Amino acid sequence: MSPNTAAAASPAAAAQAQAQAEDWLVDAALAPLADGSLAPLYAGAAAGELTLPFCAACGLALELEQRACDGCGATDIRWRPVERAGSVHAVTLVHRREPGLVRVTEPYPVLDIELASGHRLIMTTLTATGSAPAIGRPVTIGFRHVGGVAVPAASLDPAGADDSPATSGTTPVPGTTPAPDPSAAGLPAAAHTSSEPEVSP
Amino acid sequence: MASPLEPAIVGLGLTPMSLSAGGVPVDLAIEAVAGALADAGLAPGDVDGLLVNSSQGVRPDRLGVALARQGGLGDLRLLEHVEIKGATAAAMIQRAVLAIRAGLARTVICVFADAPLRAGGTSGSTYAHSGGNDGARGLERASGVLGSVPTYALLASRYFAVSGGDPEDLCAVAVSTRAWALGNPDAVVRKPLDAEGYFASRMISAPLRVLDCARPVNGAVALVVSGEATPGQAPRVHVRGMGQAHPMRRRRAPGESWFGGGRAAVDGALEMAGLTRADLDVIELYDPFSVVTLLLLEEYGLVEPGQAGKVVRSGATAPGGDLPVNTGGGQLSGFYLQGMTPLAEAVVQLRGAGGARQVPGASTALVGGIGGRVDHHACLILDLEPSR
Repeated sequence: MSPNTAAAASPAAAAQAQAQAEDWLVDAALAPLADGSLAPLYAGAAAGELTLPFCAACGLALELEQRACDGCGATDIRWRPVERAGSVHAVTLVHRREPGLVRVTEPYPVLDIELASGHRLIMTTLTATGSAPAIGRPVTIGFRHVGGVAVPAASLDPAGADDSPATSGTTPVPGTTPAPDPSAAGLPAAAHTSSEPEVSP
Repeated sequence: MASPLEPAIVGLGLTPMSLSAGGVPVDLAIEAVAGALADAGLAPGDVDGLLVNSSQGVRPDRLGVALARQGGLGDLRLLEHVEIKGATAAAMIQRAVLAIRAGLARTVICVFADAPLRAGGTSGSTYAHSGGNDGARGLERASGVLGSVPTYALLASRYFAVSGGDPEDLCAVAVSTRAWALGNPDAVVRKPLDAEGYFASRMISAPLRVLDCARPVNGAVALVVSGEATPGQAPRVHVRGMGQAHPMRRRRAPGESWFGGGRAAVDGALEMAGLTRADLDVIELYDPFSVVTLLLLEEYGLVEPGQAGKVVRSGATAPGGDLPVNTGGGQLSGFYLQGMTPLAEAVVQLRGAGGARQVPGASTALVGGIGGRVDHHACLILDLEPSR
């Protein structure tokens, strides 16, 4: 079921049901701070809107944490809903799955999505998929719910359906098949780091 | 009063590079400082400046200016905690040289220490659990971006799309860098590596495998920069050129979000040095991931755009090649002590102390440090000859 159609049918009921459901990818411990610096984004997401920052003076699309416009210098920032559509700008299939934080047992995609508004936003997919879409592939934006907080997610079906795994445009990378090796769970997901001993054949 | 000599790197100290838990940054730093002072033939009382570089992130015991007091130094005229992420090490040398030239100090220690490896857990797990839940990082973490490997995997994905590179290029970097590490006793991975071994290694975040990722260690590196004549036996390594670049790439269309804008740091450093890229004997780059080596070779103008993979696959960057890169095994196979890894190796090479991995006749080096998501660049041109 698409969040779109659900919200249209019964917004309050759908939102409540989604907020209580567990996310397919991560544990609720990774819920973002809904009333923190990205509060407008999360408030919009809770209502089914993709809300992003623009310069109130010149209209330039701004980064999520920008506090002054790099185009005109204005410090008045306006968050407003944007079209929930974009395309894949960069993509990876993450094989390392941190125990306790990542709930899936297979590799999962992380996408850098270039939105029609010009913003670029990193997100995963709306539902589980083991394949990575190709750069340039169009996506629509829906919302996952992590610990009750709605976060943007990419639907790989341009029509907006969220139940069809990507079957085309996988990354041409050798060895990206799911890695059931249990030791992978101990692999680093580190800031510049991989503390594990390398594979010793 | 300014110092009598052109400021130069006169001391280098490295702790053993440990792959095991143990040690705290302040103790590792003190050990490296003692080594650097002994190398320079100096005593703690000869030092009047200390610059400190700590690891970023959530580290309760991160190094700070308290090192001066804890480490038994005397009165100082220069004491700063320098912070531009991974670019800090090269920036500290810049800061030290400028301070000495300005008469603000005579002999300055620059030190970095880190101990990310803890008992009872991997550093990867530590980083996966850090980063918080606010701001853009909080949103990324809720989207499954834990640690920085997925981030650099996105960079690699985009870089390949723009440059035409592929995983064979990453393999070539890992193999070339490992070949250098074989000759470096300080390198933590000194087992021969071929393409078969590379492609057999675990995928972390496609296209990056475990052998595309840096090897963090517990350890420290310290250098002494001085404008005084010092009794150490090693040749003085001069800082002939320096530059920084902090490109404000925006995460929006139509520009590239992940790379670009670093070349100005190298152009500036070469101009200051009065040298060209053809004068560089060794190239020492910050290589937290194999893709960064490819990226920086192009971004710094060391190879033609889109040719980095081809150049590395030709063997040019490997031992015996005509473009020696990361001659100690880099951060991939040597040790990951952030910006100190390329800096220390450049000093070793120019001193002619590289042993089995020595590049014959190396007298001019480029040191390239990056910070953040390749957001910060700090470069040095090191040379055996003074610039004045």
